[in-house]
Amino acid sequence: MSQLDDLFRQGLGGRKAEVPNDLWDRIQANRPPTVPQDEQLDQFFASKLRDHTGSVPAGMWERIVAARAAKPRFRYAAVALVLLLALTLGLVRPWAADADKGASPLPASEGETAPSNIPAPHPGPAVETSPVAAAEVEGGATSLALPTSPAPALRRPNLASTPRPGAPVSAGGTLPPVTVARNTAEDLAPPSAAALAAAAADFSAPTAQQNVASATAELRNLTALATLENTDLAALATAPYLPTIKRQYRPKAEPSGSFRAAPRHRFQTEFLFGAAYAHQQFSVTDEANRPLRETREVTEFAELSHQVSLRGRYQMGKRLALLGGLTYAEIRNRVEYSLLVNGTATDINTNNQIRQLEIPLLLGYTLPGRRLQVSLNAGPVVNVLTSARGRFLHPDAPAPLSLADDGNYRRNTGIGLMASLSTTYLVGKQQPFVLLVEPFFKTYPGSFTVAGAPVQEDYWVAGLQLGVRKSF
Amino acid sequence: MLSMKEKELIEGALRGDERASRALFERYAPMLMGVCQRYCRTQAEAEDVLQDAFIRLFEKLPMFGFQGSFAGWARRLTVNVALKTYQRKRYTMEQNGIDHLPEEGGAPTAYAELGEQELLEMIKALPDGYRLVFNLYAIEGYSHKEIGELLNIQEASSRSQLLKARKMLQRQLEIRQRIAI
Repeated sequence: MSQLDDLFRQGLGGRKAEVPNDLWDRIQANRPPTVPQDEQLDQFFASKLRDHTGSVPAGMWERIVAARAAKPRFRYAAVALVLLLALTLGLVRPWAADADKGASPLPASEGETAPSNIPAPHPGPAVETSPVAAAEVEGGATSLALPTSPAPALRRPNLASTPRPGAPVSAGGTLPPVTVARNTAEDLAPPSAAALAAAAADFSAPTAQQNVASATAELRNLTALATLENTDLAALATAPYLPTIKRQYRPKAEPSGSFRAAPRHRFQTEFLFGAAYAHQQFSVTDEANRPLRETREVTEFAELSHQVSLRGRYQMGKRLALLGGLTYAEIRNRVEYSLLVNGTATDINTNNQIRQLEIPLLLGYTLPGRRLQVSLNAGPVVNVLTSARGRFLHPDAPAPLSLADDGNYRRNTGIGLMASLSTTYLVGKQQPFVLLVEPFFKTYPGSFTVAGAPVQEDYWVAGLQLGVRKSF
Repeated sequence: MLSMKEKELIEGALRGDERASRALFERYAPMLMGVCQRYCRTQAEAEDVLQDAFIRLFEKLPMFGFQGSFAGWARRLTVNVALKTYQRKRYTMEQNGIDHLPEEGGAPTAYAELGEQELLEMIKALPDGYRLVFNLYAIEGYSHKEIGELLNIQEASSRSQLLKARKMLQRQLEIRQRIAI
């Protein structure tokens, strides 16, 4: 080691140089600030973004206005459906009441007396047949008013005693006196007390004595009438004063569930097409499958479903009918999800379909009506075949799964229940056919998925069918 | 407290006055667009949510009741619409996680100098769940319990998502800062 080195070491080794005063500040200024953590980080973002405003794109207001205008479509449809039902029931009700009046054996009310301008060709005012008298007469030649006694008041034709459609005489008002063979009537045994009482009740005569007398005479005359030949009756039917009876007082045809123009046709076919809303419900028995249920609930939405039916309808009586046939129904759902393609999220919309082939077996009850009729139908729907097509999202799967392969659907869903309200309207007179409007509701007690599937899928369906009915 | 002008606008919109409705829209749309942008990943999504939010706002206007701040009510309503939209698209076919976050993360800037747009971009880059929880907790001020109810998740999940969101944002800030130095 040289002496020179020692000299400098001893002279400078312990020397403390002066530090500029602002050196620390300068160092601090260049030091990167610490990135905030936890609550500080939250505060940092919140302070910067809480009042952040974005630029609103041009035309946004117009989009909102357009969307608001388009939105109430479904509400209007619902309101229209309700109105249609209400209107249907409202229209049918008075007619039903009319028909009920016709079938009622009770005397008509004061307000229903016939107007006084109905011709009374005989000095004594005519009296119409009572239900008792009508019941005694066969062949439909009833409702003839005969001038036998001074029975005072005219009565509205009693519909229970009106002739059946097709009967040769359709009279409901007064007729001129008919000369009949009194001998037959006089040989008759006296009417029973009950019959006389019923007959008396149908008159508005002031005294019971008069009533009994006129009822007795009426019975005699009508019984005699029953012995008339058909040609005589036809001649009566063509009497020139018949059309003078006001339409509202003429007898009405009996309400029939079949065609009015062709009541003999018991078997009819119906073709219906309808749109429906199918309500999808998911359930899980194992809580471990809840994420799958939630995934499907938030990605699958009901679309407009539809069904086509070809049904046969067998009229079993005035009111009851049996309906059966084949229905093809398609339940549709929309699936929405986002797919990352090259780092960009792309919205995917796709449809799922559950197709069903079903046999409806319904019992229908027809409410009385004329051209417009309403039937209440209810019964089971036997599912023959079910198939599913589409995709669904599974939280554990990177890509959508196939409904057909992984959806665990049953091949048939068993028996469902259906109820519907068929509203029919008769169109045409010569070759009539019936227009059908039918709101319906179907529910399936069984699940669409197999037992033990991770998620059970159930449905109920409500919709509206339109169609035509025609007899063979 | 509602200002007189604001009250008049709301009453006008309630009466069906188109001009009042439009004025209300113009007054609040920028603020609500800001909310939508925080909750949505893309501008197009944000616009859709804004549109839905205003449709809903006009539908629900009779329920406002003139109590409290209209801006706060509209903001909450917009947040709900955004959440609903998110829930519909909740199960996106992405497998984003903390490791998938892009490393480059924008221009180098010291964090204190970051503007609204940069911060917004960072939030948009978060996975959906993280983004929603961070927005609801850090910016809107919801509690974890409320977030759990809103998003139908466990309270613990909300906490965990928030921690992860913070971690990702912190990492983003660090990356930008490192590049800046």
